[in-house]
Amino acid sequence: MNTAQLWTDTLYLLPEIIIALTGLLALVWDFISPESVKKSRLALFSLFGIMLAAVFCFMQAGLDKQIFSNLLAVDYFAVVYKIILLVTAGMVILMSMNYLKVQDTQRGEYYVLILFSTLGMMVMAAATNFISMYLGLELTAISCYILCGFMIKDKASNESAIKYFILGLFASAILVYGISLIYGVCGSLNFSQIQQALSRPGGNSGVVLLTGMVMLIVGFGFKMAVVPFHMWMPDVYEGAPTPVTAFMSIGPKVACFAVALRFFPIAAYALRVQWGFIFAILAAITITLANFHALRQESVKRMLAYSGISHVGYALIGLVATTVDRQIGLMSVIVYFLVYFTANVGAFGVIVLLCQKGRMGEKFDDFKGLGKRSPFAAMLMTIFMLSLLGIPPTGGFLAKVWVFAAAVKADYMWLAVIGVINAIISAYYYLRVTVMMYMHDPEEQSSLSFTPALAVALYIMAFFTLYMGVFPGSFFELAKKSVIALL
Amino acid sequence: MSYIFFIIFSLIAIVSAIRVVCTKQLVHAILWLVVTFLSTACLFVMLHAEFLAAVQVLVYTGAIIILYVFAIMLTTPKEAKTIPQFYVRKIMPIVLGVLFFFQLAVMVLTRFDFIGKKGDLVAMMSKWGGNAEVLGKFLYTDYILPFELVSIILLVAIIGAVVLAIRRSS
Amino acid sequence: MQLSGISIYIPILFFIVFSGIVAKLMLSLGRIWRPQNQYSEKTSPYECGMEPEGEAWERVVPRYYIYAMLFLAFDVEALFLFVWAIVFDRIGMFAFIEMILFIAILLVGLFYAWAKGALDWRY
Repeated sequence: MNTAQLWTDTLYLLPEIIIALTGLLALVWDFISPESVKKSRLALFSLFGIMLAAVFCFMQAGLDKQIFSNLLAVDYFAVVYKIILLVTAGMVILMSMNYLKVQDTQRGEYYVLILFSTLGMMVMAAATNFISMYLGLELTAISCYILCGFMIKDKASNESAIKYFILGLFASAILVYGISLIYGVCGSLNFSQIQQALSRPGGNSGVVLLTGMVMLIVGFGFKMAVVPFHMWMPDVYEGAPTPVTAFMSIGPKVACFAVALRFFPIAAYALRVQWGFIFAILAAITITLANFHALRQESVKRMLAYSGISHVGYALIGLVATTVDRQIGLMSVIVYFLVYFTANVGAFGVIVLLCQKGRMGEKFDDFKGLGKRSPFAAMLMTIFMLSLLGIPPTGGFLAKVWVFAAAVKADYMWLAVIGVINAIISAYYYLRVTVMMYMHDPEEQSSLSFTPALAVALYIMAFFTLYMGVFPGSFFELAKKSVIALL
Repeated sequence: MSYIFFIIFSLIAIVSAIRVVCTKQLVHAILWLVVTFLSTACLFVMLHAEFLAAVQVLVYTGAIIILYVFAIMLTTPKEAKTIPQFYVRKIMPIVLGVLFFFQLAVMVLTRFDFIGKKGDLVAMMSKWGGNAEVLGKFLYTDYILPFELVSIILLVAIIGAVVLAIRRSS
Repeated sequence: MQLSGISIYIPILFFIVFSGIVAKLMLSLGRIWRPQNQYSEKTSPYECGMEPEGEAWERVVPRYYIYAMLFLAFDVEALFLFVWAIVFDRIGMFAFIEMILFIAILLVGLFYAWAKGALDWRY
């Protein structure tokens, strides 16, 4: 590989470089400026970096290249996922500005860690090689461990960080061992070379290969919080600062799914019977168990954690469907995440809004009478809940229909039935929030103050949730283009 | 000849690894871990992975063990000095561990069918002058992206240590 | 370079074994020849000093941990420098630039830790 090649490859890496530079500059700015300088400037600077990176990402749309000796792909799929991740990071930063002030933990490192974590996820979204994938994963994970424990005086936050750290490392160890076994058999870490090795006659069997594959699934399962590897998640989500929870409920999962979509249906297509079977069972138990746990929660944050688990299960149905029809299956997963991320970030945003001095605003009781205290916030929350539930005017409906249609088309009728039944059950806990907001009297009368940053974040998320439900065409086009880039 | 050494070093590694898990004193467990790391380093040397052996000694036996020792010294002595004895919740991990061991054993003993393309390490090594040189050549041309990512991961680790361990003086 | 044999490491092995034997030998010879009269004062940690108080295992401040963490980070950096140093003349300018980048990023970390007071010793 010659030097000129490296220079041109660096140009294709511009979005990632911008994020890394923004993070580094924000860190330097944080420690050279005196304590009195407002940290909100740092947040705005980070937002600027994210926007710049997003612009460069858009410019990459339509390219189809492999850079840095096939470590990363610059294609439509990567662009779509990077945009999702960058928008999430931007919204989380908007949400955090006031939250950190209320919680009195204004430290500049917060934004730096969000940026570096986003960098890791972007690398994962583009990774076509296990090495770059793993380093992206670790960068993401280590930043998230620290972000979880960011409120160092809060015991719940500490507990959350330590749980996430230990179990996350365990998952990484399993993942790396699985990767090493696959490397041992296939002789390469590159997805396309693994694909070639597996498509040779007799390549899709062998104990070592299957063990590696199972360990890979277990590792990814931990990271995506698939039942039965989900135990860490509700505690971690509950203890972490709410904006960080919003970030973690989207970022690492979406990034892991990006890798899974590049690896399983494409590179490991020869093994589709095996992983299809495992993922089908995992999807079924994930949706069902997470749903039943969510029914019993008293904290909205915890409820959203379990609902997040079940949504990963729905997305897994789409992944299972790729065993038969790759295009429909992949498209359904991409559309699902586009919809899920807007509604989920929005729902956590409303919790952040409710978080006032000395009151976390996480319980169902805190939502009592929100319709009277702040009709607008209640309306936004209703939109997000309806979308997570999957009611027609919102994007959630179309996403669920697509996933189930993909499952039916792939002859996984039973999976679709389980999905539909669970979607109906989930109505209870999503609508319970709405009932609390509109049919109860408020416990306290103080009106809620929208800060401009949070308001912007909530508007944007609500707008896209509705827009995707009413005019889904452009988003399907987006998903279709990225799938074509992949296949 | 090398076969005998291989058996000796792997036996030392396995026995000391078992001692790590079985010993009741945390500090003893760490010392046994040092033995495991060192004998693994010897195995790496025998495979002509001299650089890996150096990593094993410098990073693992050097830095990581120090981290472990400090982590133990941070804890309250009375609570953490000894590892709790056998209790019921340990059964599940033991069963899983044994199952996993047998699975790996079967895997190794049956057949390790390689289906990929074979590289030519020996030719590369004689061209560049050794294992570490080949590693350096690949690391700084083909794999520079992971290399630079490593620096950011290390930076994040530093930030994490400072954020979590230092209370801001008010 | 001979790739097949590991015989080039035999001297090192011999060295390790021999130094172990020497150490053991010196200690056991001392045990044989030294006069044996032990009493409780003599076996205490500080024969002529203060009576030691409390246990040897005391909790230490978390600050030590930051030093260990910083040491680990720069240890890894040193390792990468080692591989780079033996090949950089054959790779070219790009390798030089990327190593500067690598060191610069870690230097930012060092200055950050410095500015945040991680290197000052206060409780």
